[in-house]
Amino acid sequence: MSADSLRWRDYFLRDGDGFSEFWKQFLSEQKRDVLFALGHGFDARMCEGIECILGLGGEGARDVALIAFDEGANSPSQTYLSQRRANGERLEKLIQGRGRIEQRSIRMFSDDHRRIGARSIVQAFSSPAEFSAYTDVVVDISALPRSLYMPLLAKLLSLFDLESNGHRKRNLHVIVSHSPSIDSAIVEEGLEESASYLHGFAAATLESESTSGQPKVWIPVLGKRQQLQLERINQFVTPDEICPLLPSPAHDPREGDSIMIEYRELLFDQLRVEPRNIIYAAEANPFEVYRQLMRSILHYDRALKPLGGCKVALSAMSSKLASIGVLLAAYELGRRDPKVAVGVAHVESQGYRVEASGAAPPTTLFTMWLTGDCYAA
Amino acid sequence: MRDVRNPFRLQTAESIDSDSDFLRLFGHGVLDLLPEDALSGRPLFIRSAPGGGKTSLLKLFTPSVLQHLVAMRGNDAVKDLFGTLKGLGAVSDHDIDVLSVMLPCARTFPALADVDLKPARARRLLLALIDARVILGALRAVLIVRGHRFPDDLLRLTLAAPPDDNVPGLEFPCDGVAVLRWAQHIEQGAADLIDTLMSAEGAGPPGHDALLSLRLLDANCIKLDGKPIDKRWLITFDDMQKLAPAQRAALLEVVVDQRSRSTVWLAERFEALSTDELLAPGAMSGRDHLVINLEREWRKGRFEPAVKQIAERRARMASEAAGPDAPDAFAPTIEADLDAPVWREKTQVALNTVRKRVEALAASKPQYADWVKSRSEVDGTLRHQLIRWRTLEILIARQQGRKQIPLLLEPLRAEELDDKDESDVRAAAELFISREFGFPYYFGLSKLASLGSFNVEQFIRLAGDLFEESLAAAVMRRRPQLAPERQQRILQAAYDTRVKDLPRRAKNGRDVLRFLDAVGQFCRDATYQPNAPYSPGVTGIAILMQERETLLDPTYLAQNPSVAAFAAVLGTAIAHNLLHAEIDYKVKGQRYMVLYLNRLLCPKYELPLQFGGFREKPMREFITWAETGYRSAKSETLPL
Repeated sequence: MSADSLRWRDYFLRDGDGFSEFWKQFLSEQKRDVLFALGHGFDARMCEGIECILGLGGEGARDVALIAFDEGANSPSQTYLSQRRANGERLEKLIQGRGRIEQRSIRMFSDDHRRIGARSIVQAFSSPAEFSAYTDVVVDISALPRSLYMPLLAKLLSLFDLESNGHRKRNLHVIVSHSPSIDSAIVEEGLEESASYLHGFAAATLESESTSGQPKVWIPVLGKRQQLQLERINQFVTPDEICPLLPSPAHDPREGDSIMIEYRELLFDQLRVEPRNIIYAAEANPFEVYRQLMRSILHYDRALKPLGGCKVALSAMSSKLASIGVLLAAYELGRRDPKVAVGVAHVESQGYRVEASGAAPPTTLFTMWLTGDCYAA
Repeated sequence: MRDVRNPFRLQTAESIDSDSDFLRLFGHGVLDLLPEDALSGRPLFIRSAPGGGKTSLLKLFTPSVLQHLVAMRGNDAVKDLFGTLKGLGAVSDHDIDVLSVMLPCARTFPALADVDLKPARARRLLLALIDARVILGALRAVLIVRGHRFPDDLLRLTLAAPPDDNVPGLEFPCDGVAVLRWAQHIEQGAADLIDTLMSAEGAGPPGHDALLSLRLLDANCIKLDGKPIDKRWLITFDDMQKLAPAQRAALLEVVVDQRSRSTVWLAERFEALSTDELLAPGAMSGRDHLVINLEREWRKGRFEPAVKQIAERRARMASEAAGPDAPDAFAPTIEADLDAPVWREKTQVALNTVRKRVEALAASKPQYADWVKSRSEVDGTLRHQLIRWRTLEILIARQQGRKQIPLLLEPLRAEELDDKDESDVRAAAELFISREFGFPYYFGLSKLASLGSFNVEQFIRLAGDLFEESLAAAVMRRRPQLAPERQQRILQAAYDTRVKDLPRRAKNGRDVLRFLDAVGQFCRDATYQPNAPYSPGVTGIAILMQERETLLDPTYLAQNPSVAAFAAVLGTAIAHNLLHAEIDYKVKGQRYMVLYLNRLLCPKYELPLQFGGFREKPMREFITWAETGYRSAKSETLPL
């Protein structure tokens, strides 16, 4: 299989001024009924995307599925309840007179205290019928944790792909307000003791004992301050080969070097990673991350065909933008024929703490069009 | 395997990728903790904190490792290990006698629990999946020990029908390929059920209600080239605590109920705040199953020699990789002596100070005249004299503090001093001297072993930190020996790297850190009193077992949020091995749960490393500590 047959070889991505230009033109072309799926979190960036898009006019419904998730009474995120409330009020004002807000409560824990957020969000958007009134679904991942938006996007892609088979083309967009400095100020706290595979990909196949002879390749997409997550995921995945993916080019040209220095002991002394295994992808382009991942994985799969192929574990430990690249690769690989056993290994956390910073750093809006009209044959 | 610069960095069994390296690094001391009849068929629970060495122990019994061991049996590095395993009946001179199948419980099973299935169906599916993996693992084990390849040689294997049983989906007799297909079908069915983004209703294999794989192995149904496999079977379940509670209960019930001839080992994390046993009614420890708590066994004087051996093996591997410049032994790099000339001046100053203080005190209290005189006659090194004088100071403080001071202040005889001058008081004196005069206290192999807190992984990490420095010195062509004060600084820094970031590392980490800090401060206050009442010091707390029961009662916890929050804090601290729990400890006619600080925290609070010193308190006081921190009530502590 060549890179030509990658689903997202040609892609649609806009950022900054391009974000507004695209949405202005897109909404003015024709009447569009848009459903926004937003996480109701404390992140100040929660409403930036929707505010910008609503301000660009256009006809049609502008409804919101507001995803509410409670990480528990002991979550450090509870410290920011007032910010969360303020975000909710801001959203209500924005949407007033334009559409309606429907709340979707996501159950994060089972009765025996097991984490079930990923399964819950998949069940919360169960039927294709609930999207029938909309031409476009926009998922804003700015205030959603990875363990929710990745399964959600996998589910929506899967639902819309099924629809596409029936020749309907509903558009799925992902937007995010990106700021490396805000991202690095938001620190995960209360990490789970062990990693797990996110629901929605082909992880259970990956853990199959009957194919345990197949080599397991782990590709962590690296960001800073993820040492604990790296250790726990490595312990969980027990990979045969590790190929870290570093951001390059990046906003900070030395970002990749800094990351290598931070994880030097773990990667080289403990895990004995081969330096030639390191992969590079542009920090601000999730489709580039996706392409680099796919290229490496398909190469491994081809090379290891005599052993029955390989199994792949991916981990998104960097920005939300880069994690979309991981999502796309995992989604596509798990649905190929023949399927590649792929899982997205992840360490859940109890919540987040925001480290104090000075003036609000600048943010950039990104929009990614994942499926729909623009991919029409 | 590529050369490893610092083999102490290979902390887990999983990170060592070749069987021969695993054997070279394996410290066989842990095998001494197993009962002689560990492979006799009785289920054996192996419990420890994370990093206690459970996975390494299970890995040792896997067929490929044992096969390597038999092949290497003449090698000095594994001779003792081979002998111990032979004694357990795992190997004989030229062959493996036990075939094991190792099942990590973290794999697939927990995800299966999250699928929305009815309990009966979930249980059937769980047992079917376990059966598929055990039978597949058994076929693989047989091929490995006979030098064949998996899956290429599966056709050489046949399975006969187990008596009085059938395995749904398998038609007997069948060959290994048919078994592989059957196992793949069950695994894929379960995987599809777990991975699907649509409804799981009605999907997946039907499953069954017993562990049929154990019956199949008991009945010796597997044949290679038509001949039965005459071996004992060992099925090991690792990380049992990762199963959902209902899964764990189901597995334990069938394992104990079935009373299989094949041995089953169940390795899980010790959790002092979870239900003690979830075994089938009527099951009794001793007759139906055995429980080994590794930490408890290590405490019987077995830990230090075992970890010393581990350290030496790793240092030897480093020297093979790094060449002649690297130290080829670990102990000489950290053994040090405060009697050395470099410490003489500092010791003399300290001795003069303490002696003057004691003599001044005794000058106004003639009953101590004999004691002081006997100390003046003590021979030995300066350090020895210093410790003896400081011991005397503690004993005088004790005498002064006695509630019933004899009316006639009779002189105290020197023989009485000898009776009172016990090792624990001398240990307290040594600690007090270190704190007052700035002598290093945490250095040397014995202290390092104590700081390991009966946890092999923790010991290896700490030893690795020290060895890193020795390696660096060797690169710079300097002496690889580490000075005591440098060792202490490195070991103190371990707190910063492994405990301070608890809020990130663990659930409720901030609360746990606050509580641990309270316990540490309390222990310091209780330790550093002039009369050292709990010599050598206090390093733990205790609550009544009745109070512990309330921490396990969901109804009580629902009604008492502060107790529930405290239970969560304790649960996290124990799960992360920051508190050592000892349950049912009997003292003063009461039963207690004793919670000792992990020894890694002792340097932070300048505490001794011995176990045994704890203070019991009502639980409500500890809850206050967890909520608001500890406030010292004592004024009579030694100055900082």
